[in-house]
Amino acid sequence: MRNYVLKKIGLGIILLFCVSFFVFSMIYLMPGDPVTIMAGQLAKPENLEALRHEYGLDRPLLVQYVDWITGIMHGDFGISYKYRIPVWDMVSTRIPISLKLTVITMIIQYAIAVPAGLYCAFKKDKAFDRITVNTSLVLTAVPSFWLSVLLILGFAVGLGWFPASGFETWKHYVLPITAGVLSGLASTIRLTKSEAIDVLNEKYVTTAYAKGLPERRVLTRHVLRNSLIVITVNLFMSLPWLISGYMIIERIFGIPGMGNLMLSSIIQQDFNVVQAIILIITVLTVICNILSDIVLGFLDPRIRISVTGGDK
Amino acid sequence: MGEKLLKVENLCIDYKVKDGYLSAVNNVNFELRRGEILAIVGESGCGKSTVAHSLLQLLAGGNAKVTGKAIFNDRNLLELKRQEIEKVRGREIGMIFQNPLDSLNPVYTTGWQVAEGIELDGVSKEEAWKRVIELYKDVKMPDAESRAKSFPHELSGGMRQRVMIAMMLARRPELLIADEPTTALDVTIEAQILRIIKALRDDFDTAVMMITHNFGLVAEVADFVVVMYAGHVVETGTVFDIFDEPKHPYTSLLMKALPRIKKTEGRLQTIDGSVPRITGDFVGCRFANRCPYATEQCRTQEPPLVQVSGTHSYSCFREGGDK
Amino acid sequence: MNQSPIKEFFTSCYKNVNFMIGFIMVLSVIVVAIFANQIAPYGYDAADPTSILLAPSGEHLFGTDNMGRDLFSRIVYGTRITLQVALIGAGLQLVIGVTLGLLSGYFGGPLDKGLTFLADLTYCIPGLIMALAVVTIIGSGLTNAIIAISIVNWASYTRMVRAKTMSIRNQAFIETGISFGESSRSIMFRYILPNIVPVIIVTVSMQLPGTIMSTTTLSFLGVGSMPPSPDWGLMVSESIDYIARGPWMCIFPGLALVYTVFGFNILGEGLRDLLDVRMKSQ
Repeated sequence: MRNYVLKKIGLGIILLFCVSFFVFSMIYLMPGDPVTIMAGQLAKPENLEALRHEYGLDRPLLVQYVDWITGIMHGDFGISYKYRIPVWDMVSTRIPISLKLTVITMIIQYAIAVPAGLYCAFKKDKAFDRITVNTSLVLTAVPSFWLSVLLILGFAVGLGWFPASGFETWKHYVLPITAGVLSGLASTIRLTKSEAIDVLNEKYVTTAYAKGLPERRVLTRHVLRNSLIVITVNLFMSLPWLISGYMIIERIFGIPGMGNLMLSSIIQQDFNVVQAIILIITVLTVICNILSDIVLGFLDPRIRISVTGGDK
Repeated sequence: MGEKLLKVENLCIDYKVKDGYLSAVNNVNFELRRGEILAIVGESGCGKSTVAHSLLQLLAGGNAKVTGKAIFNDRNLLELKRQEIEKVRGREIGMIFQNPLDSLNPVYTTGWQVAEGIELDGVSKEEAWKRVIELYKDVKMPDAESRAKSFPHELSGGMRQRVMIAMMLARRPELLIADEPTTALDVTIEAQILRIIKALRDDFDTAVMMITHNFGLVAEVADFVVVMYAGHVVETGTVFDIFDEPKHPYTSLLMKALPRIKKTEGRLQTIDGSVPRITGDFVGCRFANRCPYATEQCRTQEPPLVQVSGTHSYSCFREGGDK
Repeated sequence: MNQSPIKEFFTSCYKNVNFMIGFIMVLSVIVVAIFANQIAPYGYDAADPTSILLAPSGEHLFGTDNMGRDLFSRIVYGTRITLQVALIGAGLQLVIGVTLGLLSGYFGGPLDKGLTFLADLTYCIPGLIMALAVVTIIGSGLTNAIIAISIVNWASYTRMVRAKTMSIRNQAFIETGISFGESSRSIMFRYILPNIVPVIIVTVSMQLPGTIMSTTTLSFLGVGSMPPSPDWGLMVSESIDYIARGPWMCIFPGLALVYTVFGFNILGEGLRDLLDVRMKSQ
């Protein structure tokens, strides 16, 4: 198990290295010049040179990368080109907001989707299953941005129950979280259902019945237990995707999260900030991947053996 | 002869499919007494597994229509309510399956899975674990204690099948259904497993219903034989009836398909064609399309049941079978 | 009984409800796109300051927007953008994905290892983040948005094609081809490619709805189509400021998008059943 975790962490570090290099070189892949962007089109050439020197952009690429990555390890993401304040100060306040929303959304989403998906699998082709399948088919065709706007139209503008934007009280959270939950609900239900159906068709479920176990025990100890492997892994894996998907929702509901900041930074060409956010989300992704692998190892004894190079 | 344990009468199983009904098992009759080993023989897809699963109400999908009777200890298994059949499974009738890797849950230790059944009888966890170790020793599992703590994928095929047998013997069932118990195993392991099954019959007077496509296995263990083809019983009899005097062409052909040690015949004979899909309005003999002796009569009329002796019967128009 | 395989295939198409509904829905979008000039009563950018934010009526079927443009006409012209996204997006992803997948599956070795690592890498970064990063580099605009989405999506194609190529590569007829001295290129394109066409068709049809949705999302976020384009995503984003005064501005473009994506979705489901290609996401 220890080797297994170490191997996964090693892969994660390689991944981080690759992404960080890509993110770092973004600025050189772009057609524009960061210094011009900072100073504006009308700046004098000597000022540009001074700025270039001030930000260390006149040194060799690799030196810059090493500097950059060392800085980041000490929590220094550089200075925003646009606002001239440390990027970390801009980003750090926003991470908890995004994380809080995503985690709440995820919990609610799974609390609804897993029981619903399991129920659909157990009662396949019955009324509830059919309704769920058809609803989720339609739901997958609805983009989250439109869903959010519709929610605002219905519950904020129309009924006036909840505010349309802001993040001060719990009421502000209702609509964004609803939008977040709904936008991922269909795929989670589908995944749970198909996984549970696969497990239900496994021969060991027949064995469990043949042993004389009561149906309830078969469903909880065998079907549910084994379906949870894939479902839990999926939960961890989808967290970063949810955070990035939340970008749209943050934008619409005016929530000052990471995604919202990233979007405005892209539009304002504040690349330091964009870089920082991409990197942070990648770090989160890598952490989630490692966590999901570790959880998988705990849930499925077959993995532990095959990865640690056990007897078979 | 022991007392009568199971009597299957007019068992029919139809699967609902898109365009009507698919007849998987039709009008199957047989009996089984305590201490007897009955083999149901046929190619894959002939309905023998379906019969076995239907007895414990284990047919998957819920689109199977089962009619007829299966009287076991004065109760019709096919009509039992869910809670009632749950009490029969494992306790009165045990069942072991073809592929012992797929048949064990990969996330629990094998011992846990055996103990899980034992605990249904109100036995404490410690007590159940002790029983598991005893059972593992009974089925000649090497290194029983550590094997009980192993996961299924850590065991070999033969060991996994022993686990299955231990699991199904744990509660001393009166009838053991073995669905192709040795198909996935090699020959030496096969012999060991068969020895365990035979010992079980000798020691506890357990009845065994063995489902197989291998006539070699039948000769080795069975007392009685039921030959099935496309959901029909085409011939039944004692193992001597069937081997000495096979009457139905299908039985004869199956036996010719059997590899023998003595190379009397040049090559292994196979039967051409495959088992047909039988839908609701089928008439005639189900074997007609592959039978070397088929006549016009075979394709239009259901063949009669011919009683050769008290124990031996077959259903075919041909007098004297394949002679 | 004696139907030709092609006729049989069309009969089963006809019987497949999902396929038929999806086909009709997608066909209707295509027809609207082709005859947009005839169908739309106004131009997509015909602003009329005297008729701003009019509710739906006989004259303006879906109402007008904040600049007095007829929403129905804009949505009709919007089908062209959506189909353009679908076509270019699918084309780009196909070229990248199929080529890399064939190479990777056929040659194996370090090339395969490298491409697989790259694909795994792409899978690890959330799609929207990567698309935005690409757009940041190459700039905004519809074409760039499509390119960004294709760069995000190439890995799914490559994976499917690679897996299928590998399984076919080991079959006897490939060995025969090699022994006849066929070149690798000829084997890849004349022996393997025709055999993976069903997989490609199904992959395209499964990826298309997502491609349309993601590109529209980029337009909504302001890095895709630029005004005055009648891109449905852009239209929804423009509607937010007028949501109280003209809710139709946000409702109709969204409905059009859902209709199209839903059509492509169930067309894909139908195709998957018809071609019987078993695919699981994991």
